[in-house]
Amino acid sequence: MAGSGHPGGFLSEDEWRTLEANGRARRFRARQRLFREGEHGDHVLAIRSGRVKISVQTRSGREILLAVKEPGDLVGELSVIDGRPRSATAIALDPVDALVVPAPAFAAFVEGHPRIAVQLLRILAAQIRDADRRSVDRDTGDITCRVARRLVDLAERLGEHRGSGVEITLALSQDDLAAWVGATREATSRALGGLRAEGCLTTGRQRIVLTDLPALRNRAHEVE
Amino acid sequence: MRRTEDGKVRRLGEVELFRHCTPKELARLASITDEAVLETGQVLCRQGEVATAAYVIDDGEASVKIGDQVIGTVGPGESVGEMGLLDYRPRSASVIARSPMKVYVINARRFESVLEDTPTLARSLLRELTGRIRSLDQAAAETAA
Repeated sequence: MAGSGHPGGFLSEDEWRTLEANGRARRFRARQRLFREGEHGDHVLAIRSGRVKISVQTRSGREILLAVKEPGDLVGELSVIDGRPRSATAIALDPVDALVVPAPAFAAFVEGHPRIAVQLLRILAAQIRDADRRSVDRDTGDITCRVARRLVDLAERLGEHRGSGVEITLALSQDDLAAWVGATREATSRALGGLRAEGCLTTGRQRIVLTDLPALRNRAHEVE
Repeated sequence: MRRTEDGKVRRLGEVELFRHCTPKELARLASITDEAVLETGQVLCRQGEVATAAYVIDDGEASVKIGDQVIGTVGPGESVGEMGLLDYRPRSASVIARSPMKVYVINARRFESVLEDTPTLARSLLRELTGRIRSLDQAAAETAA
C-alpha cells in the first residue's frame, strides 16, 4: 500500500492519480518539520510512507501530542478547508514520503469529486471523536490506566506482532506519551515502570514491546 | 404543508452541525427529513447500536443514558446522534422519551446522497467540523497548560 504510493482506502486508484497530477512528491527526514502551528497553510499533504506526529504547544511551552498520522492519512487538511492558519505542528517521526497538493488544486479536486467531500467529513468526524475521547481519557482512570489505554490504542493501530508480543516502534519520547495521557513525565515514567514490573511490557530505545496485551487491556479498562 | 416544512427547516437550522448551512441547503435537507411521534418510554436509540439516523427534537424531552445511569436530558431544538450521519459508529448512549415526543428523523444513507448531490452542503459541514477540531485542539493545549 504505502510502497505503491497509494495512500490506503481513502482514495481510489483513479482519484489518487488525479491528485498526484496536481501535486508534487516530497521527502522529509525523520524529525523534520512539515509545518508549524500558526503558519499560513497553503497546501495539504497525503502521506505515502512514514509517520507524522501532530502536536500543539501549551502557553508554558509544553508539547501536547494530538495524533500520529500514518500512510494514507492527510495532514494539514484543516487549513486548506477553512483558509485559517495551521492549528498544530506536524513533525516526521520516520523518513516520510508525501504528496504535497496546493490548496486551490485540492479544493478543485474535492469540488470535482463529491465522494471525497463525504470521505473528508468522515475523517473529520473521526478526529472529533478521537479528541472527545482524549478529553474523557484525561478525566477518568488513574495514570497507569491512561498509559495502558494509549499503548493499547497504539498497538491496535501501529503495532507489529513479534512472537507472543506486539511491538510498537515509534520515535515517541516519554514526554510525548506523558503529553498524550495528560500527566507529568515522572508520573508517566512511574506508570510505565509499574506495567513493566507487572510483566505487561518491556521498553527499549524508541520501542515498546507489549508482552501481555490481554493484561494491558484489563488495566486500560480499570476506571476507579 | 408549507408550515410543516418551515418548522422543519427552522429546527434543522438550530442543529449545530448545520449552522453554516444556507436556507437553500436546509430546505434540501428538510426534503429528506421525516417526522416521527414517540410515546413516553419509547427508545430513540440504543447504546452500542450502529447509528443509521439522526434525530432533531421538535417537541418533548428524552433522557440520555449510559448503561443504567441517566447522564442528561435533551429537548426541543436539540439533536441526537448527528455525528452518526457521518461515521456510522455505534451509539455512545441510549436516548429514551420521557414524555410524548415529536422528532425529525434524518436517515444516514439519504443524507449521504444529499451530500453528494449538494456540494455546497458538504462544504458548510466541513467548515463546521474544522471549527470544532480547532477548538478541541486548543482546549487540549489549554487544559494541559
